Amino acid sequence: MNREEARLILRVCRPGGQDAGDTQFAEALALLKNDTELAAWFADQQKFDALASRKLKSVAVPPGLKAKILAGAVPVRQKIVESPAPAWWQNLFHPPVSWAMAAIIMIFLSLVIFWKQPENAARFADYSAQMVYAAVNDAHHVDIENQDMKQVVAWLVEHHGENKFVLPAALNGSNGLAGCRVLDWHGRKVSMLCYGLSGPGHVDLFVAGAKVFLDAPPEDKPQFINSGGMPTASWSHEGMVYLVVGHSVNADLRKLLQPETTAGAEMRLFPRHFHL
Amino acid sequence: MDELSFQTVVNAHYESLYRFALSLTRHEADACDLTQQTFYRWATKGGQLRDKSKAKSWLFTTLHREFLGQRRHEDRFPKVEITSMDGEELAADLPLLEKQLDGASVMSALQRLDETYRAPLALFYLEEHSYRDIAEILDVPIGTVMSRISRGKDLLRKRILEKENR
Repeated sequence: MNREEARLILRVCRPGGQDAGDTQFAEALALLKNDTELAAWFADQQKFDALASRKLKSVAVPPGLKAKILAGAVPVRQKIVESPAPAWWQNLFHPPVSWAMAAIIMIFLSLVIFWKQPENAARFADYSAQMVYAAVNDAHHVDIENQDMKQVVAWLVEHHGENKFVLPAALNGSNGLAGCRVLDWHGRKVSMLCYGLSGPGHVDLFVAGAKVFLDAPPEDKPQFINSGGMPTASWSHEGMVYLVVGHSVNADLRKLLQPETTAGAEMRLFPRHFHL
Repeated sequence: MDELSFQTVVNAHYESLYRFALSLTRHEADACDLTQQTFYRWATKGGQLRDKSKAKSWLFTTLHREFLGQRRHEDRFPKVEITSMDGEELAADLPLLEKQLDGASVMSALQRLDETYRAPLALFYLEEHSYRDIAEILDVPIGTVMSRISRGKDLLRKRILEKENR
């Protein structure tokens, strides 16, 4: 260590002698024994440091400051001191515990939602896509071929399919009815009615309970959407969801569901008309 | 934290903290506010400090951070130009200075230094923190602290002598 290096270190040596035992200073301090010039410089430094320190420490502190500090922190300290020991359940809200609990609850809820989803929470779009696929692609299109609506409904009752439905005029009679089928969708029964109609041609009507859907289509207001490349119309009514799938891309489902004025036996069975 | 321990900490450190704050802010009222704010922080968060022997460092660190935070918003502390003093050390008649100087004039000289030197020097003189402690409080490297104290001392001496020679 040369003189300049020693100076740099000795400049931060505190005047009170606290650093004498510090190894950082030991070597520099040792040089003072053989270097009188460095020793004189250091002595001057220490005196100046002691003077500056003494003078700065003598700066008066505002007399009311301590009282202000104590008073200012009183509400906080009272809150801290006076707070009773937390009950066991309050510990549950401490960050590490509460975070862990929140995580457990989230996982639990996620699992519940995951498990319950097939039964209680389904997206209508998924259902619609699956029904369109079944209508268009299933080789086994209907369970029975029958053109009589009463017999079809009876068959549905017998096979636990949805049978308490209210149909629009164009679909509520036996005209064009070709048969039916009961599908199983996530544990729920879905009834399908198959029609061969003069206008739109081949159409299928799917009826399912509305409760299973979080986003069931609006009540009595058919939504016309292309699903899987096929025209569809869907609506809800009195707890049921109705989905009509056209087998021709040109099938005009809007025209099919126009209000009908036809009266007759079928109308008594299915007295519901839609006002589009 | 109970009443007694809080008061003990205040008694032990509030004066040096105030002087440190005064060296930083240059204004008595701001220094009082900064000191109060620091103890408020201690009242609310000091209980989280596991090693109570670190209370002093914690307080000075907190005060410095509070100061930097306030200054960022207010920016009302203009920097003082530093004249080059490389290699220059002024001889001083220390016994005479001892008689003539008072605390206020040394504080005034300190306050006229750039904050770069003011903060480490105030910590060095006021509470006689080690350079390692100062590095921790100011969150700067040890080598930087050493050079700032060294240069700051030269500048302070110059300021004091300038004033005395007028």
